Amino acid sequence: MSQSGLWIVGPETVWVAEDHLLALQDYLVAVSAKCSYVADSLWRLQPPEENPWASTDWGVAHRVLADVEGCAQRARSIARALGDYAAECARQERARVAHFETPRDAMIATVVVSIAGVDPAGYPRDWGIPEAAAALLGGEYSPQSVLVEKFDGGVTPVSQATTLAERIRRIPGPEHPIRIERYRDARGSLETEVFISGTSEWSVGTTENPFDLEGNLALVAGIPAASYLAVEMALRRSGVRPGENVRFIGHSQGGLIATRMAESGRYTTTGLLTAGAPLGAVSVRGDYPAVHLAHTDDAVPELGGASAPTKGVGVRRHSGAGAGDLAGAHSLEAYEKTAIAADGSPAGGHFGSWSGGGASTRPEFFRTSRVG
Amino acid sequence: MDDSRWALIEHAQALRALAEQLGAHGVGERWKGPASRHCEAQLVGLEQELVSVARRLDVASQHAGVHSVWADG
Repeated sequence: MSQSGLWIVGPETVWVAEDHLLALQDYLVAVSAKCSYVADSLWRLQPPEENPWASTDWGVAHRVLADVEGCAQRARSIARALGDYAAECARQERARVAHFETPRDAMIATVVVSIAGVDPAGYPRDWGIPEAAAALLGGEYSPQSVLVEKFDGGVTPVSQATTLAERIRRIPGPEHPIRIERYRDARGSLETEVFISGTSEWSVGTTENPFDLEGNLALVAGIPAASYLAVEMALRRSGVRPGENVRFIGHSQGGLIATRMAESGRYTTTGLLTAGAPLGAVSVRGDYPAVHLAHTDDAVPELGGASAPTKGVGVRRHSGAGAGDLAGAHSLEAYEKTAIAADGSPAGGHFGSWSGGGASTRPEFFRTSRVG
Repeated sequence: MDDSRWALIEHAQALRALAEQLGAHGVGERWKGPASRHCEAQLVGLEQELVSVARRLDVASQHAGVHSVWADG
């Protein structure tokens, strides 16, 4: 049996467990149901009506039936024990956030706010990384306009992705950070998948590239970012209208944009997949499959601050990169390997449906730059 | 062979398959301690019990078919 070593954080952090344990719990529930069915079926195999208890075989059969029911109860009991363990892990995770991450973020925010000389709303004890990010941007911040250009290079048609790994693989590089695929299913309805690249410029609004550190700060602060506007414009250029079905996939800053867009209510979100995104206070409240991949040795997801309760499912594991190799731990290649592990995970049923309709399309790529 | 006998054979096969699949599962690598070991012992017990019940259903099926599954007439 392979051990993928994925650590799964359930929606609202009500359970946290290794994927093999979750799969076992699910299986035990199925064992219990099957045993109950067999016991019920055996019960219906009636002995002759005349003096059934005189039959020795019936007595034996009755004990078999009781044993099958016993198996059902044992399976339920073990599943409950596994559930208790997963719930206890979740309680510890919530306690870690409440007693360590939240006070830490409040302290960071207080220092940053003091240095920046701004005055966020609310009490300092309630401040977090969003307030710190907003303070760094300054009170008068608004994103510059962006220009979005469609890349008209030779692009070959592709079939709709059917796995998490395929989707991670389609996240574009920094040259053309937005990729859009539009599919029409057999019933004629349109579905769009948008793939968004991560940060490619580490300055704060000093270059033409909107996928810079300023974009991260604005997105964490909950302020419109130039990179967010660029994706919005690219969707419009592709003909995606409000209310249409859209799946959002993004790496790092792209994951943050994807989550904010998925939650914006502008589109009908049919899926959200993020990798190494600093989500922090940005949470999923909608009812759609949402999977967040994060490496335990990747510093970027932590930069978003304390994790807010979310309906998304977290998938965590070590990236396999060497000690101190922060770039390796955050790389798209490492996340692709984690997505492959998630696709093959025995607990894959917890990730929702990521199948495609089998249609093919010609992907569109967009490049973007700040104007003015 | 009557329906009852078929039912017993099918149920025995189903329970044996459940036991086999159960053997392929594990509690993972990270859950350590007495509770984990207790759980693993319970899983082994359940697996053996499923096999045992399946075997008894097989035996019962070999005696079924004349009058009734459960009665020897």
